[in-house]
Amino acid sequence: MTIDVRTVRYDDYRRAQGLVLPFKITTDHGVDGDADVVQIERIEHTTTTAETFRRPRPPNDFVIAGFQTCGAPTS
Amino acid sequence: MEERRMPYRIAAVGALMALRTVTLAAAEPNSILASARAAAGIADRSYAGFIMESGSERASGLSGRWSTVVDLATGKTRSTSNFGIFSTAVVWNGHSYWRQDASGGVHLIDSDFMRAVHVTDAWLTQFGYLRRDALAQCWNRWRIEQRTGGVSRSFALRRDKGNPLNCGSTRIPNDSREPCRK
Repeated sequence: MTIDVRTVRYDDYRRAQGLVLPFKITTDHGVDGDADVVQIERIEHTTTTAETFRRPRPPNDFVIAGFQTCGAPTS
Repeated sequence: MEERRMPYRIAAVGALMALRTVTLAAAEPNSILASARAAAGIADRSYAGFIMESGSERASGLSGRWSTVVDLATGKTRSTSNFGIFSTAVVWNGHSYWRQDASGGVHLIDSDFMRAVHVTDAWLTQFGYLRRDALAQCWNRWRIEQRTGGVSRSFALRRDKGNPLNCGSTRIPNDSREPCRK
Protein backbone atom coordinates (compact mmCIF):
# COMPACT_ATOMS: atom_id res chain seq x y z
CA MET A 1 0.00 0.00 0.00
CA THR A 2 1.48 3.29 -1.04
CA ILE A 3 1.49 6.17 1.37
CA ASP A 4 1.49 9.66 0.00
CA VAL A 5 2.09 12.54 2.37
CA ARG A 6 1.07 15.93 1.12
CA THR A 7 1.58 18.95 3.32
CA VAL A 8 -0.26 22.13 2.45
CA ARG A 9 0.75 25.36 4.14
CA TYR A 10 -1.55 28.36 4.15
CA ASP A 11 0.30 31.58 4.87
CA ASP A 12 0.03 35.31 4.54
CA TYR A 13 -3.59 35.68 5.57
CA ARG A 14 -5.26 38.92 4.62
CA ARG A 15 -8.75 40.25 4.47
CA ALA A 16 -10.26 40.22 1.01
CA GLN A 17 -13.85 40.47 -0.16
CA GLY A 18 -15.09 40.17 3.41
CA LEU A 19 -13.18 36.95 4.00
CA VAL A 20 -9.88 36.11 5.61
CA LEU A 21 -7.86 34.20 3.05
CA PRO A 22 -4.33 32.89 2.62
CA PHE A 23 -2.37 34.62 -0.10
CA LYS A 24 0.32 31.97 -0.20
CA ILE A 25 -0.34 28.24 -0.56
CA THR A 26 2.58 25.84 -0.54
CA THR A 27 2.09 22.16 -1.33
CA ASP A 28 4.96 19.90 -0.36
CA HIS A 29 4.98 16.37 -1.72
CA GLY A 30 7.95 15.33 0.37
CA VAL A 31 10.59 15.83 -2.32
CA ASP A 32 13.29 18.32 -1.41
CA GLY A 33 13.07 21.53 -3.36
CA ASP A 34 10.01 20.44 -5.29
CA ALA A 35 7.26 22.27 -3.45
CA ASP A 36 4.43 23.79 -5.45
CA VAL A 37 4.05 27.43 -4.45
CA VAL A 38 1.01 29.52 -5.32
CA GLN A 39 1.20 33.23 -4.63
CA ILE A 40 -2.24 34.78 -4.86
CA GLU A 41 -2.26 38.29 -6.25
CA ARG A 42 -5.91 39.07 -6.61
CA ILE A 43 -9.22 37.96 -5.12
CA GLU A 44 -12.48 39.24 -6.49
CA HIS A 45 -16.14 38.42 -6.61
CA THR A 46 -17.07 36.84 -9.88
CA THR A 47 -19.90 35.24 -11.76
CA THR A 48 -20.00 31.78 -13.23
CA THR A 49 -21.61 30.01 -16.11
CA ALA A 50 -22.87 26.48 -16.46
CA GLU A 51 -19.47 25.59 -17.87
CA THR A 52 -17.52 26.65 -14.82
CA PHE A 53 -17.98 23.51 -12.78
CA ARG A 54 -18.35 21.08 -15.65
CA ARG A 55 -15.90 18.38 -16.65
CA PRO A 56 -12.80 19.94 -18.25
CA ARG A 57 -12.74 19.66 -22.03
CA PRO A 58 -9.92 17.62 -23.54
CA PRO A 59 -8.02 19.49 -26.26
CA ASN A 60 -8.98 18.74 -29.83
CA ASP A 61 -5.45 17.70 -30.78
CA PHE A 62 -6.07 14.62 -32.90
CA VAL A 63 -7.09 15.26 -36.49
CA ILE A 64 -6.66 13.07 -39.57
CA ALA A 65 -5.83 15.37 -42.47
CA GLY A 66 -8.18 15.05 -45.44
CA PHE A 67 -10.42 12.59 -43.62
CA GLN A 68 -13.88 12.32 -45.09
CA THR A 69 -16.82 10.26 -43.99
CA CYS A 70 -18.79 8.25 -46.47
CA GLY A 71 -22.00 6.36 -46.22
CA ALA A 72 -22.03 2.61 -46.29
CA PRO A 73 -24.90 0.61 -47.67
CA THR A 74 -26.97 -0.86 -44.92
CA SER A 75 -29.08 -3.19 -46.97
CA MET B 1 -14.09 37.12 23.14
CA GLU B 2 -13.75 35.58 19.75
CA GLU B 3 -10.38 34.10 20.61
CA ARG B 4 -11.74 32.53 23.78
CA ARG B 5 -14.53 30.85 21.86
CA MET B 6 -12.22 29.55 19.16
CA PRO B 7 -10.86 26.47 21.03
CA TYR B 8 -14.42 25.29 21.68
CA ARG B 9 -15.29 25.71 18.05
CA ILE B 10 -12.20 23.80 17.02
CA ALA B 11 -12.99 21.03 19.51
CA ALA B 12 -16.55 20.86 18.21
CA VAL B 13 -15.33 20.49 14.67
CA GLY B 14 -12.85 17.84 15.73
CA ALA B 15 -15.60 15.86 17.41
CA LEU B 16 -17.79 16.24 14.36
CA MET B 17 -15.09 14.92 12.09
CA ALA B 18 -14.44 11.98 14.37
CA LEU B 19 -18.13 11.07 14.28
CA ARG B 20 -18.17 11.39 10.54
CA THR B 21 -15.24 9.05 9.97
CA VAL B 22 -17.22 5.98 9.03
CA THR B 23 -19.95 7.61 7.02
CA LEU B 24 -17.99 10.33 5.30
CA ALA B 25 -17.72 8.56 1.99
CA ALA B 26 -21.45 8.06 1.71
CA ALA B 27 -22.53 11.41 3.10
CA GLU B 28 -23.76 14.23 0.93
CA PRO B 29 -21.13 16.95 0.60
CA ASN B 30 -23.62 19.70 1.28
CA SER B 31 -24.75 18.06 4.50
CA ILE B 32 -21.14 17.77 5.65
CA LEU B 33 -20.56 21.45 4.97
CA ALA B 34 -23.78 22.40 6.72
CA SER B 35 -22.95 20.20 9.73
CA ALA B 36 -19.47 21.60 10.00
CA ARG B 37 -20.74 25.14 9.86
CA ALA B 38 -23.45 24.41 12.41
CA ALA B 39 -20.90 22.84 14.75
CA ALA B 40 -18.83 25.99 14.52
CA GLY B 41 -21.77 28.30 14.98
CA ILE B 42 -21.44 29.72 11.50
CA ALA B 43 -24.61 30.33 9.53
CA ASP B 44 -24.85 28.98 6.02
CA ARG B 45 -26.03 32.37 4.87
CA SER B 46 -22.57 33.71 5.65
CA TYR B 47 -21.45 31.98 2.49
CA ALA B 48 -22.87 33.25 -0.75
CA GLY B 49 -21.62 34.13 -4.18
CA PHE B 50 -18.47 33.22 -6.04
CA ILE B 51 -14.91 34.38 -5.71
CA MET B 52 -12.02 34.06 -8.10
CA GLU B 53 -8.47 33.92 -6.82
CA SER B 54 -5.65 34.41 -9.27
CA GLY B 55 -1.90 34.58 -9.04
CA SER B 56 1.37 32.93 -9.91
CA GLU B 57 2.47 29.35 -9.44
CA ARG B 58 5.90 27.80 -9.29
CA ALA B 59 6.26 24.03 -9.54
CA SER B 60 9.09 21.72 -10.57
CA GLY B 61 11.17 24.66 -11.76
CA LEU B 62 8.41 26.04 -13.95
CA SER B 63 6.53 29.29 -13.50
CA GLY B 64 2.96 29.79 -14.55
CA ARG B 65 -0.40 31.30 -13.76
CA TRP B 66 -2.92 29.87 -11.35
CA SER B 67 -6.58 30.62 -10.74
CA THR B 68 -9.43 29.16 -8.77
CA VAL B 69 -13.15 29.84 -8.80
CA VAL B 70 -15.02 28.89 -5.63
CA ASP B 71 -18.75 28.68 -5.04
CA LEU B 72 -18.89 29.82 -1.44
CA ALA B 73 -22.28 28.23 -0.85
CA THR B 74 -21.50 24.69 -1.98
CA GLY B 75 -17.72 24.35 -2.08
CA LYS B 76 -17.66 23.71 -5.83
CA THR B 77 -14.28 24.64 -7.24
CA ARG B 78 -12.47 24.92 -10.52
CA SER B 79 -8.70 25.37 -10.35
CA THR B 80 -6.43 25.81 -13.34
CA SER B 81 -2.67 26.00 -13.70
CA ASN B 82 -1.19 27.27 -16.94
CA PHE B 83 2.54 26.82 -17.51
CA GLY B 84 2.46 27.78 -21.18
CA ILE B 85 3.68 24.49 -22.60
CA PHE B 86 0.93 22.69 -20.73
CA SER B 87 -1.92 23.36 -18.40
CA THR B 88 -3.80 21.36 -15.82
CA ALA B 89 -7.20 21.68 -14.22
CA VAL B 90 -9.15 20.29 -11.32
CA VAL B 91 -12.93 20.52 -11.04
CA TRP B 92 -15.12 19.53 -8.11
CA ASN B 93 -18.79 19.98 -8.95
CA GLY B 94 -20.07 18.93 -5.56
CA HIS B 95 -20.43 15.29 -6.50
CA SER B 96 -17.71 14.43 -9.01
CA TYR B 97 -14.05 15.25 -9.18
CA TRP B 98 -12.15 15.56 -12.44
CA ARG B 99 -8.48 16.07 -12.98
CA GLN B 100 -7.05 17.18 -16.31
CA ASP B 101 -3.40 16.28 -16.49
CA ALA B 102 -0.56 17.79 -18.50
CA SER B 103 -1.42 15.65 -21.55
CA GLY B 104 -4.90 17.14 -21.69
CA GLY B 105 -6.48 13.86 -20.66
CA VAL B 106 -9.39 14.16 -18.26
CA HIS B 107 -9.75 11.66 -15.47
CA LEU B 108 -12.76 11.11 -13.29
CA ILE B 109 -11.51 10.42 -9.79
CA ASP B 110 -14.58 8.76 -8.39
CA SER B 111 -13.52 6.10 -5.93
CA ASP B 112 -15.27 6.31 -2.56
CA PHE B 113 -11.92 7.07 -1.02
CA MET B 114 -11.16 10.00 -3.29
CA ARG B 115 -14.69 11.31 -3.01
CA ALA B 116 -14.30 11.28 0.74
CA VAL B 117 -10.95 13.01 0.51
CA HIS B 118 -12.36 15.65 -1.76
CA VAL B 119 -15.41 16.20 0.35
CA THR B 120 -13.06 16.78 3.23
CA ASP B 121 -11.00 19.11 1.11
CA ALA B 122 -14.14 20.99 0.18
CA TRP B 123 -15.02 21.20 3.82
CA LEU B 124 -11.61 22.55 4.66
CA THR B 125 -11.80 25.01 1.84
CA GLN B 126 -15.17 26.26 2.89
CA PHE B 127 -14.80 26.12 6.59
CA GLY B 128 -11.14 26.11 7.37
CA TYR B 129 -9.76 28.92 5.38
CA LEU B 130 -12.62 30.69 3.73
CA ARG B 131 -14.66 31.36 6.85
CA ARG B 132 -15.11 34.97 7.65
CA ASP B 133 -13.36 34.84 11.00
CA ALA B 134 -10.83 32.32 9.84
CA LEU B 135 -8.75 30.20 12.15
CA ALA B 136 -5.88 32.26 10.90
CA GLN B 137 -6.85 35.05 13.21
CA CYS B 138 -6.16 32.81 16.17
CA TRP B 139 -3.64 30.52 14.54
CA ASN B 140 -1.84 32.88 12.29
CA ARG B 141 0.24 30.19 10.71
CA TRP B 142 -0.86 26.63 10.43
CA ARG B 143 -0.57 23.76 8.08
CA ILE B 144 -2.56 20.75 7.08
CA GLU B 145 -0.95 17.40 6.67
CA GLN B 146 -2.94 15.01 4.60
CA ARG B 147 -1.92 11.39 4.61
CA THR B 148 -3.52 9.12 2.10
CA GLY B 149 -3.09 5.45 1.46
CA GLY B 150 -5.61 2.66 1.18
CA VAL B 151 -8.58 3.70 3.23
CA SER B 152 -6.77 5.64 5.89
CA ARG B 153 -6.78 9.35 5.94
CA SER B 154 -5.89 11.90 8.52
CA PHE B 155 -5.60 15.60 8.80
CA ALA B 156 -3.42 17.24 11.35
CA LEU B 157 -3.51 20.92 11.98
CA ARG B 158 -0.34 22.16 13.55
CA ARG B 159 1.07 25.45 14.50
CA ASP B 160 4.51 26.02 13.14
CA LYS B 161 5.50 27.65 16.39
CA GLY B 162 4.15 26.94 19.84
CA ASN B 163 1.93 24.13 21.01
CA PRO B 164 0.88 21.55 18.45
CA LEU B 165 -2.74 21.49 17.50
CA ASN B 166 -4.43 18.29 16.45
CA CYS B 167 -8.00 18.31 15.39
CA GLY B 168 -10.14 17.53 12.42
CA SER B 169 -8.33 14.27 11.96
CA THR B 170 -10.28 11.26 10.96
CA ARG B 171 -7.73 8.89 12.42
CA ILE B 172 -5.53 10.27 15.13
CA PRO B 173 -3.02 8.09 16.99
CA ASN B 174 -3.90 7.82 20.66
CA ASP B 175 -0.65 9.37 21.71
CA SER B 176 -1.39 12.57 19.81
CA ARG B 177 -5.07 12.89 20.63
CA GLU B 178 -5.22 15.95 22.78
CA PRO B 179 -7.76 18.68 23.13
CA CYS B 180 -7.36 21.51 20.73
CA ARG B 181 -6.13 24.41 22.70
CA LYS B 182 -4.17 27.50 22.23
